Amino acid sequence: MGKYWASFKTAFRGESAYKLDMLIAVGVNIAFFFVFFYVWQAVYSNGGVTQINAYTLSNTITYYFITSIIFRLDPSAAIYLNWEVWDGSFTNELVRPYSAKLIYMVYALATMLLQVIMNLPFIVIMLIFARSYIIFPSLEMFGFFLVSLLLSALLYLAINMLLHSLSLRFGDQDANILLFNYIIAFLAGGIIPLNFLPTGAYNFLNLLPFKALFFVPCNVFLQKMATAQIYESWLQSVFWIAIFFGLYYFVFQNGLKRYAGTGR
Amino acid sequence: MKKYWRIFKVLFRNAIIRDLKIRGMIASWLLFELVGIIVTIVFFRAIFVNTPSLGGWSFYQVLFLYVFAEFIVQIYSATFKVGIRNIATNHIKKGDLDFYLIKPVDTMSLVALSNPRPYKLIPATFYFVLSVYCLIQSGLSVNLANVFWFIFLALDGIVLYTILIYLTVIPAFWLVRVWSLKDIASRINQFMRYPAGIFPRSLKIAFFIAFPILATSYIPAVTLFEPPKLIYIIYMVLVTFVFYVLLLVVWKLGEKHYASASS
Repeated sequence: MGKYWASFKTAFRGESAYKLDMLIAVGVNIAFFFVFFYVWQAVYSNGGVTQINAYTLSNTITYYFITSIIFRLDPSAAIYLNWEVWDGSFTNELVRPYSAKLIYMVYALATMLLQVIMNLPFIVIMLIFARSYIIFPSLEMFGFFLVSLLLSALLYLAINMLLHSLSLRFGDQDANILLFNYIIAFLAGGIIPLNFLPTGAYNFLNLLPFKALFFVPCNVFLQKMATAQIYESWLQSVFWIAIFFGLYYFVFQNGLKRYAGTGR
Repeated sequence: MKKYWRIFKVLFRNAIIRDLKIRGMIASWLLFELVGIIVTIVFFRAIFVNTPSLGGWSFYQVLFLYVFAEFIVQIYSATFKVGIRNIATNHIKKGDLDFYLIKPVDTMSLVALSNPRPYKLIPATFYFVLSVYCLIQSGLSVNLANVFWFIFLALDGIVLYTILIYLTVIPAFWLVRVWSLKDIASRINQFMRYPAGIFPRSLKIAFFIAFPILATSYIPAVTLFEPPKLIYIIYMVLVTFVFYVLLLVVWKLGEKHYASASS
């Protein structure tokens, strides 16, 4: 365990060496929140509507505030497995005295933690800017939200580790990782709240595991879920995290047999 | 000019040969763009169920603007994006800019032209077809003058967009290792996909004058939908010229600061 903790600290220090780089990388994403803020403000005022599927303007702005935070937990850019398989440097990790399967997750967690820290000033900016719209939950619900957020990050990590591990067998997955992350963000309610979609689509997407990435944490924060529903969603998340990590293990082990270490 | 066209043709041909070797990856990128189009339509459908207009524009006008903005981005991606991005990621940090500086052509142009991505013209075609569809569906009467000035301003918009993005990566001369400069453009360009009417006055001033990214898509689009306004045409030409001069000045300052030491 000690060697993973040491690797975590090293990765964290390495990533934070270029603070301005990370700060800009995180900060530019604030544009997402501002664009959707003005779009939805215009929709509610132009359309003369006070609610869209039980979401007031404040609910919708708060929803996008939370998605802006969750997007910074997106591990797709924090995992280097695909890149290192692509250029052959993955071999270096294979011969080191730790599990290559785990070490990429450790590196990713270090980067994700740094992204969260670097995002704090921008969260404050968003809070100040949209203070009259953002709704805060009770302390109890905020606790539930933090757990949901943690499960969301783990599920996101598990899905992305699986996507990256495909590179061992099928080569460079850069485009596919981007493609699947985009699709997943949409299916999870990262681009538009799922209940803004037609009922049929909403019911279908509710069956998929991806809602735990965005839709569930947002609705917990908005206090739109009963406690029993939250517990149920946590159980579902744990189940899907186990499934995706299991698949990752399987694909990684199989891919390793194919890995030639030549890079390109 | 002829010389640069010849250089671009050679680089473009080589890029096509390279792209044909990675067809699977290109198929994934194209699929990504297609999914993007579908998601965009679903997103705007969800919006327009609740409102008849956005910033005073109808569904098809807004979709046209979004698609047209994407078209500009794809044309930029097909021609200059990777070359310009490399300034932030490689050329200055690793000292690769030396190889461009010693060539008997303008360095700034050569860097921009150095890495075209021809396959990006395919999604640009998707967006073009979709924009024509949106225009027809919008039911607006568009005359020849609208089309002429739209094409003129669209070309101007592509040039202005390229200049603005170039300006966002030039700080790399001073900051050296700030890769994320390459991401600024792809985030800020989200603003150019929506009607200017939804943004407050302060943002309009910022994105029409200080960093006129909204002008690149909105002014050509509004010229297509409404009688062409001379003031818009003069403004676009003027602002493009001013920012081009600014780019030249900043580039020269950057070149002077460039130490050629790799890390």
